[in-house]
Amino acid sequence: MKTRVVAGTVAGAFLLAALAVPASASAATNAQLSVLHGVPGVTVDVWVNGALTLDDFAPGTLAGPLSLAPGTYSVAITSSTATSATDAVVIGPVDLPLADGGNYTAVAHLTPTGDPTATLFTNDVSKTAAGEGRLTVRHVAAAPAVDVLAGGAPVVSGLTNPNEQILNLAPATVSASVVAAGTTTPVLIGPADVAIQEGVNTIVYAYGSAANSTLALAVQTITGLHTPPAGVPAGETGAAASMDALQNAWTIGIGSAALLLIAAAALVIARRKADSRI
Amino acid sequence: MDQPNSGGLGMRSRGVARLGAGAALCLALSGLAGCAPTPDATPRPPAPASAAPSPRPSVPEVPTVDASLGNVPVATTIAPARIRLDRLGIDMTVTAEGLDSRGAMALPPNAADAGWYRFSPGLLAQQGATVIAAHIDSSHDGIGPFSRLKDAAVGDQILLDGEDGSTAAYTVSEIRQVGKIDAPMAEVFDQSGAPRLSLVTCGGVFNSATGHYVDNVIVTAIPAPRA
Repeated sequence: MKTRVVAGTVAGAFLLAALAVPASASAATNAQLSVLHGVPGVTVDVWVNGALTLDDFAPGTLAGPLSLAPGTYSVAITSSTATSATDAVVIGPVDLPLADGGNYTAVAHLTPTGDPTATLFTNDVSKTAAGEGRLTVRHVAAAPAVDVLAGGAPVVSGLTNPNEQILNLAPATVSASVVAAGTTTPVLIGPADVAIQEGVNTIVYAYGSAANSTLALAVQTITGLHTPPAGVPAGETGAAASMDALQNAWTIGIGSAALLLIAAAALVIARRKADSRI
Repeated sequence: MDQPNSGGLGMRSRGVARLGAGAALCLALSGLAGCAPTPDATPRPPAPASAAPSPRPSVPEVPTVDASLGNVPVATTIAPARIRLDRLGIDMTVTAEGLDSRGAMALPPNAADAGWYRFSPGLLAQQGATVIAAHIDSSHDGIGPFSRLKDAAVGDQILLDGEDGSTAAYTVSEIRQVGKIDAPMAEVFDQSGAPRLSLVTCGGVFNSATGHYVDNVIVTAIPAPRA
């Protein structure tokens, strides 16, 4: 795998350069990549294309977003004592195909049976409707299918690892609990207050292990998805316009009267002049 | 209801594809150290692992945050409660308003009252446009104070009182009358950029067939220097 190492080093050097210098000359729109660590109890290093990118990355921590040129990146997650991307590997290497302008979160997490893995989620960064926010719920825990209850009623049903459900909601603070699918007790996680904000995609991850009692929530927010109202219809009767018209009419009226006076005066003067000549 | 995650990761090696991409990327950044195309085709040996611990490449500065729920930033918003523009005799109560059934900004029924778009920034926000609108006239109480908004002048002082008792001062920077079809709603309701105040009402000709004015009067004000 010597070729691979060299390729990784070269591309990795580019990655470092890209981080320092945004590639503004490129016609392509960079992809945004965030990385979430959802494996409890293990501090790791994250290597992107063979280059150390996240050193001593702790569980429950979110990194990024990194602005990366579109392309496929190789990510390896290793022990925090590893000396290279191929030393003491915990997860991967995995390929992350990042499309032009895409917004992604790569999550290091456990499979339903508790083995470390990684999943690349595509974040929904489409505009929210005016007056709405978005809630994305992702199941990345070593746990069976779950429901999410808000105020006691299920808003997400039968969600399995590694999948997501997306809800568009009016902004509010939701008291959310995670339970096994089809149940209401016992509560596996929560209740926890999750703020749904206008124009924001709030992404909630259920991670950890049910068997090891390490289930927890991690949250990522993506802002700037706001849509303005369709308009501001701020008149009902036309009375203000009528009043303006009336005022204009007065102004025109006074102006016209003044013109008539001037014309009449001119006429009088002209006549007098004519009379005096006789 | 599950949406299968189409971005599932292949665990296979894609060395060849990466090599190609790496070379292309190098061309774009050939001046940068460590990224110059190698003149010879022979793969370079990895850096000698002489002393332990071996040196590592420098780590780029990647922002990381604690992703726990309690750490999510939720902006505290000070809702405006009163607006004054003394030169035009405007002194109105402000209530928080959302959207009407057609997706337009909802307004208090009385033209004597103003509405603050409750999804816009509040007083003393760090960025974005605080939006306050009122009827120019209403079937409830006739012609309102915002009918005089078209007479605002650059430099007019506006005071906004917050529900918490704070006051913010603004200076009028722009007065526009634009057709509603062209009204720049994204700009009026912009949540980013410098903090400012957008005042909106109707204006121009009243179309009695549609029951709407054809224009919007938009006044922009910027925070006055703190005394």
